[in-house]
Amino acid sequence: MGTEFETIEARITSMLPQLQSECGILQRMVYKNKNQHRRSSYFQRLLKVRRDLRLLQSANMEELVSSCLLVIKGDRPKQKLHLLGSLKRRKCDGDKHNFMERLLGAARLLAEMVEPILKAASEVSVLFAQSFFMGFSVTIMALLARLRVLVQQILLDVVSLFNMVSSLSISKQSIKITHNGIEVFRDFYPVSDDFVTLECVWKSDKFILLERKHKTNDESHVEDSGGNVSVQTSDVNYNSIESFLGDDQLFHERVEADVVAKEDPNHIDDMNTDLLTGSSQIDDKETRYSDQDTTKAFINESSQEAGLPASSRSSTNDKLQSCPKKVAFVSIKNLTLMRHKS
Amino acid sequence: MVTDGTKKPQVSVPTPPPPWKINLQKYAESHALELHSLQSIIENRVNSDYRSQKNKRRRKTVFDNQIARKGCRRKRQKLGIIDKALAKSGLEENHQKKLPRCVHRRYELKKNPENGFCTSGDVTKRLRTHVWHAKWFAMTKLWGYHLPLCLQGRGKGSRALLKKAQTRGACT
Repeated sequence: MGTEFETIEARITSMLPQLQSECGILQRMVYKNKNQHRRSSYFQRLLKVRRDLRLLQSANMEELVSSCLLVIKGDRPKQKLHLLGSLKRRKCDGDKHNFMERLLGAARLLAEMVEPILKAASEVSVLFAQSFFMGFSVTIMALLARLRVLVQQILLDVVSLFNMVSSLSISKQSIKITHNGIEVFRDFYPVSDDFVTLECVWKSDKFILLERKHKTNDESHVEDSGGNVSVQTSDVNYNSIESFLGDDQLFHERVEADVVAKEDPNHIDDMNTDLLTGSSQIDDKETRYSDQDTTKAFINESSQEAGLPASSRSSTNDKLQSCPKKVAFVSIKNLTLMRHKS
Repeated sequence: MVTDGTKKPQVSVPTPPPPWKINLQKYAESHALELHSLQSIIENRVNSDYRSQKNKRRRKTVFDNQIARKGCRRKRQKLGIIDKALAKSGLEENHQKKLPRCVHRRYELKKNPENGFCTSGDVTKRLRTHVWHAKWFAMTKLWGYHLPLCLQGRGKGSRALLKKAQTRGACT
């Protein structure tokens, strides 16, 4: 994963200046030969290629690529937080597009640039066949060949960067910021919107860009538990500070009090036990795992648990009896639910 | 906990200006691999048929802007052909008079016999140089012959004078 994006970074940062130099040469060739060739069809094709390249230059690819790499690397946490936060303002701010939408537009443009290049090259090859204007046609063919290769390779790299950043923006993560010796943990929670993944398919002589929209139906559970997790983590931090200060007896007393408070709502309502057991398992597993791959397995497990409520009840009872530490989590949830009721 | 999200300043890499001269052979050789792959793709596209399409060919006589130039040679040739057709068909004089003056003069010039005088419509004799004189001089009929009046100029000034004189009734 890391080595993959490092190679992509090295490749795309070396290719963008090459693309700019080829653009410069093409514009100079068009400028010099416009008077002589301007009415011919192959020159009209060249003008279309130049128009697409100017559009790509105005899209400002280097800024987009650098912001994607900031999100993926995470070596500047403030910048990363700012960029991830800007993704949430996707639909609110209509006047200003965030960098993912601009990157998607650039990918679409790159996918559509290949066809005019191939048509222009086929027109210029007619000049080759007739051996007309050999110097001009040789230079233009070499230019178009290099442009085709550069455009398609940049498209592949942009698509893989887009997929990496979109997968990062979906997952929940905490970012550590150190400022003047003080460490601050900032949590990022994704918005439950539809997200887009890109895919390139090779079809006969060029890549075709496919866009797939994914809905976050499974993540509604994650979203529900997200709020609870935030409350829980803050409480955990608070308790850890007390343990750091050295008051261990108070911590144990609180645990015992919560255990006593737990028994009453269980007897009163049977519906609450189902909600509690389901959410408690989700919390336990979230605290254990932090990787992206395991989050996918977690979503699958949560869907399985919804299908089998009876086995989950028995398993939760066993776990609760065996481990006294998890009782604290469940009891805190009881307190929060009591507060919501009142 | 609130962090100041400052946007990254746009570091614009200065692009080197394009080269003033390109060594054609070196440039093509440095792009040889891409050229070969592009050539194979185009060969697959056009099925090895590199002829230019007929609907995209330029017209053969695009250099001959007939509308812009009125005194062009092709136009005269076309009119000459019409003139010959009219001569062969033997149309009436009313139709012949509608021909432009130069065409009419050419037609008259071809009617010169080898010896003697040719006669005009009203049985007056014409000199062999009648066509030329008719172009440059005002003509009159004296003693049964069509003769030029020896007035100066090509005829525009003198003809204008004659017209004005005739309208005022000076000759009669």
